Amino acid sequence: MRTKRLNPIVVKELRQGLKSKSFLVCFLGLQAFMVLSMSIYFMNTNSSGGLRGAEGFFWTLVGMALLFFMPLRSFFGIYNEIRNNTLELLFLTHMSSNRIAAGKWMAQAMQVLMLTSSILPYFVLRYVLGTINIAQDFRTLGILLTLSLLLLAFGTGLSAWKSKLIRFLIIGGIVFMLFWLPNVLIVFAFGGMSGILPGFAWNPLTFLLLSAVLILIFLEHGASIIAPPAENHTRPKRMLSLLLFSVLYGTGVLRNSEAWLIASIAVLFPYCLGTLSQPVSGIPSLYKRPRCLAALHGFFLPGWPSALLPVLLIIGIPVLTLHANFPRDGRYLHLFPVLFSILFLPVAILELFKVRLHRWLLFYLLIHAGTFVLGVILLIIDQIQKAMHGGDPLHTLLNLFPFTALFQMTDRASLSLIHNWIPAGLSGLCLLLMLPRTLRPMRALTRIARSPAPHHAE
Amino acid sequence: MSEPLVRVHNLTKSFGKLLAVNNVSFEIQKGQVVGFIGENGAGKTTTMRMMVTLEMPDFGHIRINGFDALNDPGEVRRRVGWMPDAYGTYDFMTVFEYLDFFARAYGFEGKEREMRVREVMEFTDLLPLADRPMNKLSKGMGQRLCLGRTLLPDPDLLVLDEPAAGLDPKARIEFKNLVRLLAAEGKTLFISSHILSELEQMCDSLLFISGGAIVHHGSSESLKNRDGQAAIVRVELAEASDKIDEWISLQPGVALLDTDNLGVRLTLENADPQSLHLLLNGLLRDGFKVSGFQRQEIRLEDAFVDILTRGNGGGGV
Repeated sequence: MRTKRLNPIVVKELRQGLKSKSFLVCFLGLQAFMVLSMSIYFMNTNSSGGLRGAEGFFWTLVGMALLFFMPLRSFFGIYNEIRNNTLELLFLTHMSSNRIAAGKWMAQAMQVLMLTSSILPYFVLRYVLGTINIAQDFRTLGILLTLSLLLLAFGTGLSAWKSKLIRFLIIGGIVFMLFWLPNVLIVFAFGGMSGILPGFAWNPLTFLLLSAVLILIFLEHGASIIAPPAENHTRPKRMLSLLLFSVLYGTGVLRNSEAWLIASIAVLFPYCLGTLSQPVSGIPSLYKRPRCLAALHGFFLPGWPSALLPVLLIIGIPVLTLHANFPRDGRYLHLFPVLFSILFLPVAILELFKVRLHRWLLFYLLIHAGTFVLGVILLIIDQIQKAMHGGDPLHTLLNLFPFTALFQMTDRASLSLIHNWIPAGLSGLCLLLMLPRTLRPMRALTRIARSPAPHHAE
Repeated sequence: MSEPLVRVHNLTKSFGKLLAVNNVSFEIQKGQVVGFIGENGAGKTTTMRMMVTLEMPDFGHIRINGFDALNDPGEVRRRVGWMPDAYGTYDFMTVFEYLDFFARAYGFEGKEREMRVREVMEFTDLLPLADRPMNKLSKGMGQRLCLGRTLLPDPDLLVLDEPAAGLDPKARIEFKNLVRLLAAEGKTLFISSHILSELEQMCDSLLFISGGAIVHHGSSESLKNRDGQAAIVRVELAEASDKIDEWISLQPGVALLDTDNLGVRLTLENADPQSLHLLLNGLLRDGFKVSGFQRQEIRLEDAFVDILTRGNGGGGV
C-alpha cells in the first residue's frame, strides 16, 4: 500500500539541516548566550536597571535567532535544489511543487520549534528568579514564533527564484510597496502622518489568520516558480489572494475601519502587480477544470486578460467602500484611476510592442522603474520651478505619470479627476484593443492540445 | 507488430530562434535497447527531456505505454526513469539516505521501502557504500547511485543521457554490464552517448540525430551495409608524401578520411574490386611507394560521419 503520510522533503531536510553547520552554530551559540544572559540576571537580582538590561539582552538574543538567523537559511531552501540539479529529479517522483515548497518550510519550521523549545528552560529560570510576567512572556514568544514562521515562508517562496537580482528586486519592491504605499495613502487620507493609523487595532485572531494566509501565499509563490508548465498555479494563487482580501476587507467592514480598508489595497497591491506581470502562456486545455469552479475556469488561467476583472474588483471594492463610508470630499474616487494606471499602463505598453513572453516580467518591472524615476525627476524639477518662479508649471504633466499622480494626490490642491483619468483611460483603451489579439493564440494552443495524437501507419 | 512502448511523432522544439528538435519521429518496441547518437547540440538531450516530460514540445506528440506526455504527464512519469548526464548531490547525506529519500518520494512506505532500497543497492552493488557520504563518491560510483535512483520505481522505460561520460574504463565496463543485466530483465532502454562502439555492443538499434533531425534509425549492421555505403581502404606508404592529399582530391569518387604517420584512410563510393584495382594502379602509376593496401571493415563512427557528410536520411525511421 502506497501512502503519502509524511512529506519526504521534511525527512530529508531535517537529516541535512540538523547536521548543517549553520544550525549547529545557531543552536549552540544561542545556548551559550542564554547562559550568559542568565548570569547577568543572577548578578543583577537586586538592581531594577540591571534587570531591565538583562531582559533587553535576553529578548534581543531570542529575536535575532528567530527573526534573523533561522529565516536567513530559508532563503536558500529551494535554491539549493535548483543549484544542485535535483529539482527535476524530484518532479519525476510523486512530488508536486507544492509538496516540495511546503516540505522545505515545514522542515525549517521544525528546526525553529526545536530552537524555541531549547530556550524554554531559561523562561522557567527567569520565572523562578521572579523577574517576569510569564503570560506576557509567552505572548511575546508566540508573536516572535509566528513572525519567524512567516519569514521562513517568505524566504522559502523567494528562494525559488534562480536569479539573485530578481530576488533582490522582489524584496526591495515589497518592502518599498509596504512602507511607501501605506504612507502615501495615510497622508492622502488623513492629511498628515500621525504615526499610527487610527482604528488600526490588532487582535490575536486576525494576526494568526493573516499570518496563516500569508504563509500559504508565500509558499504558493515558490511552488509556482518551480512548477512544470503543465501545472496551473494561477488558480491557487488567485484563490489565496481572494482569501487574504476577504480577511483584510472583512475586518475593515466589520470594524468600519478606514485603516483596514486602506491596508486591503496596500497589501493586495504587490499581488496585483505579480498577477499582471505574468505573461499569457501555457496551454489552457491542459489545466484541469476544478469541479466546483468550472464556470469560473476562465478567471484562473495565467495572464492579464483573466486577471483584469479580479484586479478591478480588488481595487474597486475597497475604494468604493471607502468612498461610501468615509467620503472625505470624494478623495477616494481619485485613487481608482491612479492605481489602475500604475497596474495596467505597463501591460498596455508591453502588449502594444509585442514583447516576447519570457521577457515580460523584466520589462514590466523596468517600465515601472522607468516611469517612477522619470516621475521623481519631474517632481524635483517642478518643486525647483515652484520655489524659483511660483506656480505649479508641471502640474498637468505630473498627473499623467501614475506614481507621481499618487504623490500629487497627497496635496489637496492637486486633485484632478480628469487628469488622473487620462492615463487610466488610455491604458484601458489599449487593453480593450489588445484583448482579442491576446486571446487568439490561446485559442490556437487550446485547439492543438485538444487534437488527438495522430495514428501512425504501421 | 505489437503496440510500441514509445511513440514519438513530429516532435519539434525551439529555444528562441534555435530549432533544437525538428520534426522528430520514431518508435521503440518494448524490451528494446536503443542508442541515441548525435554530435554536441544535435538535440539529443532536448528530445530526451521532452520524452520524460521535463520540457514542453512546441509541436508533436509523445506517447509512452499509451499515455500522452502532454495530457498525462503524471502517468508518463510513473513509467519512465530519467538519468541525466549530471546528477546532483546533497550535502550531509549518505548513499542509503539518498536512495531512502527518493524511495519515500516515489511513494514507498515502511517495509516495502526498505526492501526496495535494498534490492536496488544489491543490483547496483552499492551495499558496501551504504554509509558513505554521497559527495565523497567517485564518478563511477555516482553513476551507479544515479542508476539506482532511476530504478527505484521499477519503470517500464529507462532514459539514460550520456551515462558513460567521464567514466574510467573499469567503471565503464561495470556500467555496461548493468545495462546488459537490465536488458536481460526485459527493460526498455533509451541511451544517448558519444562512444559509438559501446552503444554498438549494447543496443539493438541506433537512432542518429543531427541538427535536430533524425538521419538514421536501424541496427548498426543495417547502417554499415546501407546501399551506396562507401568502402574504407587503408593505404600505407613506405615514404611519406605531401602530395597524397592533393592526389586524392583529384580522384573521382575517392575522399580522404584521415591520415597518420604511416599512411591514409580513404573512402570509395564504389566498393567493387574493379574500383579498388584502379585506385591501387593509379597510386603506383603516379609514383607513390605503397607498402600496404587493405580494405577495412566500416566502423560505426565512419558510417555516422558518412551519413552526416552525405546528408542522407536513409534507414527505417
